[in-house]
Amino acid sequence: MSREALARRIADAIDAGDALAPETRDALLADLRAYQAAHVVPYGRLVRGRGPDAAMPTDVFRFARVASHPDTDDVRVFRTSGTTSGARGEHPFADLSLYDRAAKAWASRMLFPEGSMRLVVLAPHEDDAPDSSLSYMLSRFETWFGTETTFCWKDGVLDVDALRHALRTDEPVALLGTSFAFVFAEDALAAEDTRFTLAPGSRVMQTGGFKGRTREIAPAAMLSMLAARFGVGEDRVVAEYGMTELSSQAYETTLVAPTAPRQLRFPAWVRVTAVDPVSLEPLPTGETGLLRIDDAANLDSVCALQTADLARVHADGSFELFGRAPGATPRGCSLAVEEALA
Amino acid sequence: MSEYRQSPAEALSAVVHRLRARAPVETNENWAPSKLADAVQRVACDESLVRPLASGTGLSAPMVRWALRTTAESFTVDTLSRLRERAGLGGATWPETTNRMRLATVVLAGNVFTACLRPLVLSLLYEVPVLARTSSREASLAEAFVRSLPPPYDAACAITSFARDDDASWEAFFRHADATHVYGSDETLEAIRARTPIGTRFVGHGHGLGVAIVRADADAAVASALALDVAAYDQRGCLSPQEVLVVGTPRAGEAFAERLADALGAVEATLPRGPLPSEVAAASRRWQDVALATGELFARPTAAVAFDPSGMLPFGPGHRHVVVRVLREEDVSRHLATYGRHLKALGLGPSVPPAWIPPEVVPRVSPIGTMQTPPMDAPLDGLPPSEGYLAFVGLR
Repeated sequence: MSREALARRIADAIDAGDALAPETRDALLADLRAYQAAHVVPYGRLVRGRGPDAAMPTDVFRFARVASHPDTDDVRVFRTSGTTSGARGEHPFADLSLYDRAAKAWASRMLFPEGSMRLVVLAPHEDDAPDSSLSYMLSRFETWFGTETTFCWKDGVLDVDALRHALRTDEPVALLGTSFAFVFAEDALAAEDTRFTLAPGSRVMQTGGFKGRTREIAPAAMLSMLAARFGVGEDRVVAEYGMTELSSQAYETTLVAPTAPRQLRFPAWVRVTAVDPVSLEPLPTGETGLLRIDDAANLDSVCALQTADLARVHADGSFELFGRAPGATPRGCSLAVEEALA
Repeated sequence: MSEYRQSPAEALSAVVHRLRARAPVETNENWAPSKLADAVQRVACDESLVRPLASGTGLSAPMVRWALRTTAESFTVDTLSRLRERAGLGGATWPETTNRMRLATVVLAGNVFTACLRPLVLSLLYEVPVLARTSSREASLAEAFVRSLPPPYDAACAITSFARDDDASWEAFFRHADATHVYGSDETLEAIRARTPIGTRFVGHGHGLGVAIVRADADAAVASALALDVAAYDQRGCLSPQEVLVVGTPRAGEAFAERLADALGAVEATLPRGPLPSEVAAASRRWQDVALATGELFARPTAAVAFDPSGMLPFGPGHRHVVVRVLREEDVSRHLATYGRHLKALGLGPSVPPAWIPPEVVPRVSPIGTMQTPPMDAPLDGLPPSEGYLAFVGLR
């Protein structure tokens, strides 16, 4: 199947939204994997060794180019923020139209169901971080969903004045940022004893881990902290789960199902599976394993990705995360050395 | 009526005082080396230790026997006698250039179970009472060695164990030690160094790794010898090779990677790998899939060798996972230098010149096939065996 034909099917799948049948999605994913095995060298190697259903470890994005097109056709390369081993993963794109289509469709549904509003962003603008997929997405949000947008993270630091000013409004606000930026904001605002009571209809979206940039805060504590500092109910706080290696994002169901348990959900064109950490075979529904994500919007890289995140997937496709799988700590001296050299 | 009970720290303090009272350990030149060598041989031949050691370490029983045998082989009477002579302890009286220590303490790591023997024997050989804190993972060999000691050594050597966060016990452990020898990760070393009193000599042996270098024409015999280095202790030691550098073409590198995998497969027949902990099994699968996607993977039932053309694949999760990379001759030295002090062992294949070793690293250099069986009197981290057991003073 040609790239153009696959791109059309992916666009149709995204446009179908919840109406997309799982069988249609799975057929699309199978065709995508076959196409990618033939055109993406690392994935082709993996498929030859592990079979046509293989999922590629996300680590591979750190060590090899994962793309079906030459780098001369790149229109954007998103990079991970780095890991203990130092190497940054790269996700090259020859075309961002499917990324945009996917991001807009699912955010419209899960984060902005009422339409456009004021945006306050605790993350760099894409002009300041052109290789950040998050900054790219939030900058698109400015276009798609923002009546007025303020970026409060400049030159690597929080612009507290801009944040304070942007939140002094009677209009509903969507406050969007990374976990570590929210910790910086908490520290700065707590120091001056500033609290906000955001207008009804406001929401807070937090995403990403801490990666050693600030102290870590447990998810429940983060939820309480955000609700208390910005004066919104906890049911107005939404976590986003995204990865540089993906083209689609998951959001908590908080805004669309406020009375339901807080769970993450990807759109219908993405399949999530908990797999056994050793065999990588799917586990029964409800069991905890490594999260495999099959993202049909990943056309020019690899749609079948094996993460190192522990998760439990429910029958309706929603899932809960339990952090990274524990490392192989008893492996002797080399682990300590590798970390020391990083 | 109340009963007074000693706290663990108080009990440890009593042990410290008892040991210091034994200093210097009464020694007769005629029997000191042989008594210590015999004690090592006794534990090495004690078949009753094999099962608990296998259970405690996760190694297979044949691997435990191999480790005990090869370790004990280097604790000979001749070697121990030479060490005393080299330190100037061969005569009837101590040389004036040497201060007598009254207590050495040792913090043992758990990754290589036989590593406890060297510091205990050296301390006693140099007539210094010794107290060792064992790893929570494995203590049975150190305890068996103490039990095997004859008088006067049995009263001059003790083993203890206490929690990492037991501040009172740490204080008792260090308070009267003249020197402390610490084995472990850099993090562990730094944490313990911070606890060490200013007057106590600190000798740290941080974690590290081994690297092997072979030429492009390295054959199956070289691969077999290297497979033993990899398999020993299930590749959990600081001397274990994690990376093999093939000086030659990519084709030669890939061919050697396959030969090494075959050799590791063959080693399994005599030295089977221990069971993989679940988290290591998961890490192994992930590492192998990354290796498969980015290079060539030669997997065998209990070992895996990755040929890594990218030069970026991380080390495997131990337990017989090796990365093979190709380098040009002129790049070897620079590559090794990146490991700095963490490079603990360098195995050289036939015709590989030691001149490739950069001056800023001080690994133990040995022929391939002997990386994991260092002589007990060899320097460790560039330090002589007497380091931290004898305190030399200036010549008059």
